Amino acid sequence: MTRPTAIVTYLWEKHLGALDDFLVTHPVDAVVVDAHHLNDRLHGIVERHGCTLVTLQQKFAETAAFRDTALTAVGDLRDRLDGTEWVGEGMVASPGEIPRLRALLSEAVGVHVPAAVMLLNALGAIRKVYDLKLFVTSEDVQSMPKVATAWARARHIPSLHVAHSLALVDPYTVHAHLVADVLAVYGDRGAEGYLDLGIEPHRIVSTGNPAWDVYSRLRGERSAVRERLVDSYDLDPGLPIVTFGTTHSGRMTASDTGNAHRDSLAAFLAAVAEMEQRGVAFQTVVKDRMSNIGIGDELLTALLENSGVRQRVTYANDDTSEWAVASDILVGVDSNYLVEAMLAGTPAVNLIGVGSLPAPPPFDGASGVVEAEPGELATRLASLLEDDDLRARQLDLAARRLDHYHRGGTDGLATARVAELMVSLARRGRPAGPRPVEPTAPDIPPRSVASSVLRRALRSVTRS
Amino acid sequence: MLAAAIERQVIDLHRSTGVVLDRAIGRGRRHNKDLARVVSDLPAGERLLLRALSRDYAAAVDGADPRPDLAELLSPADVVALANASGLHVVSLVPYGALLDGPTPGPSHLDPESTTYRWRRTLSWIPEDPHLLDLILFVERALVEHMPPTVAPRMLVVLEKRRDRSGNNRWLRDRSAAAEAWSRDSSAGLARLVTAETRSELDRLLEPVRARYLGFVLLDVALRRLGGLDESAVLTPARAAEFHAWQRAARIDAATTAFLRSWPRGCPSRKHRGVDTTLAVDYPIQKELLTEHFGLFDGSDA
Repeated sequence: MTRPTAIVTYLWEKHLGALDDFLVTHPVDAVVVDAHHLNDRLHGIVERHGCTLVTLQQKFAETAAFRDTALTAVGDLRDRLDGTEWVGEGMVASPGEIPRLRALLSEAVGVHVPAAVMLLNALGAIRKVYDLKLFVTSEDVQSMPKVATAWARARHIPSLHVAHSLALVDPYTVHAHLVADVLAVYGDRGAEGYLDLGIEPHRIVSTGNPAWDVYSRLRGERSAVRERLVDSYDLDPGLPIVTFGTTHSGRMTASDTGNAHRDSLAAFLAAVAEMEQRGVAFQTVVKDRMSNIGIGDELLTALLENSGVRQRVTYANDDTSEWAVASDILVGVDSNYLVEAMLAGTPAVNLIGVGSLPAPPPFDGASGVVEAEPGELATRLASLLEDDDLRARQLDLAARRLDHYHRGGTDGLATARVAELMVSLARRGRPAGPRPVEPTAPDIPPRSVASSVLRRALRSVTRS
Repeated sequence: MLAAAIERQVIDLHRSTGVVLDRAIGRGRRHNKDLARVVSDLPAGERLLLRALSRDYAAAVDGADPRPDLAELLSPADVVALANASGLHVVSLVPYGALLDGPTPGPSHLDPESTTYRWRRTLSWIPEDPHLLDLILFVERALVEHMPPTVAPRMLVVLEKRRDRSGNNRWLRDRSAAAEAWSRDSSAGLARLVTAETRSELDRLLEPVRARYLGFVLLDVALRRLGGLDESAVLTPARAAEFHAWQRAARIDAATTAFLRSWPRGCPSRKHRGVDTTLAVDYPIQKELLTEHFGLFDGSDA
């Protein structure tokens, strides 16, 4: 008797469209999910396709075998921590630091290793019952998704990590790896950081972001969307809208300056005040994240007090893609929101030199995205508002370079491409759909043609 | 664009009324025939500027004797031999192009950094960002041009039409002695080159953040390649502190990343159903390692 088929999904809600499309071409009997990832959209998809919904938690069991495995592992790891061989190079400046580091690890081991054992047992139980066709996730960084992805790879279940963002900042520390078989990136730009790490090119595929398919329609509705927002937020219909997308310091890399939210917002407000002094006509929106409700507007109010800004600044948490489409300029901090601006046909400005120590540029010189430091932000924003030729130039560059950042541009087919990739992995265990990535660097000739560039340059020098 | 700008600068600085030969010179009959023709047409006392590729650079990068068949690779001794054979006086030999590719095909002293996408993305801003070019051109004319030919893949050879065997040989002896002194103590060599004005101008050029990133990367590479070099020779104290903080951040990231995989070694029981269960510990403690253990990010909210 053949086992029923299933897919294990750690996909975030914004990527579920791909699961929906996948199930059309490749039906399975069951969808296995972590209960934390349950939502209405997933319920809807599972129902429509007539699948059984199974949560991993249903298979969690505190058996004697579990306790034995977990206690042994924790015990052995803590024994290891008793010595000092485990202290890695560059981790402590003096032996005095070891006890605290030991305590930190010991506590974490006690909490997370048993949880991992529990999860792995549940996955094992699922695997006994179901023929698992595919493992798909939106991340392999947090504890449980990371363990689950590693399990899928270890058990040769085809595994796909759909990137939850375009890696504009090179993947660092906990992000600097690929656990799954294959990584789907939004555009070739999203592969660069991973390729620089040494991840094999054949493991990375450019698909576009399913969550951004909405821009293919939305970008054509600029006036209507703008009108709606002007109305809901009581804005001036006659003034250009400059929107700032907030950020925060994840503090997962030593390159973070640590206070990016406050520092970048303060820098932006200083630029707003400077533009007001110069008599530039515009209105300001601060677009915050949902997670900052309560904190974000308080911070804005506090920063506004001594900023010299005279106008009313509108604070918004929602309508993310609508603001991208309706704004006249979108300002961000090394953010994917700026790629959304490119998709929306909105001039984008990246505020650099605030959130991190000196780092490689997130965008490239031909991207059409302006990269400005705090001191020049007001000037760059004003020129985008007042110089139509400059504005047109930046938008034109961005349109040409869009595919590099988002495969397919605004064709609205990212969901379909991810689904296609999922199907081919489920069927054959390796990607046959969208092409593996072959990133190109703009305007910099590869090394082998540099000497011919030089010869041409010299010829022009001698002629003059 | 970068190549053209660097070339233009070095040629303009050394041209006076000289003619620039639009091809590489090298050892061998073919090159000597071309050169002989040009020299015979040249009025007495006039200057001739020739592009060449540095054999010493190729050897320094490769760590071995570079391909003998690559005739375009010249050492100062080769230049003197060529000059003596052609009735020319060697005025100077100017290394340039420290950021350009090495002799094609060949490795670069900037490898592996210069093979990365992040490097190419940085240089892609040159057409849009004049600060980058300003920094590069300054480093070329203030430093690279005055260093031995081991530091850059290309060189401009400045010659004059007059026989001067003994002068050329003396030049070669002085040149070799200088190169010798440099390789013994590059720190002292650099200290002689870098005045307070140089340091201050360099500091100004490092103020824009993208140029600062490029400058820091180049300095980092130079420190690793040229042993015994001291960055306080080229950076102001404030900038040096910033550079150290930048290096330290990279070291901390690398140390924590390696540590998360290495600390549980020797505990086979951590593996369960083919998976290392300590993977579950990585994310939860990463932030704590940086904030609590290394004490970074003093201050309140993110």
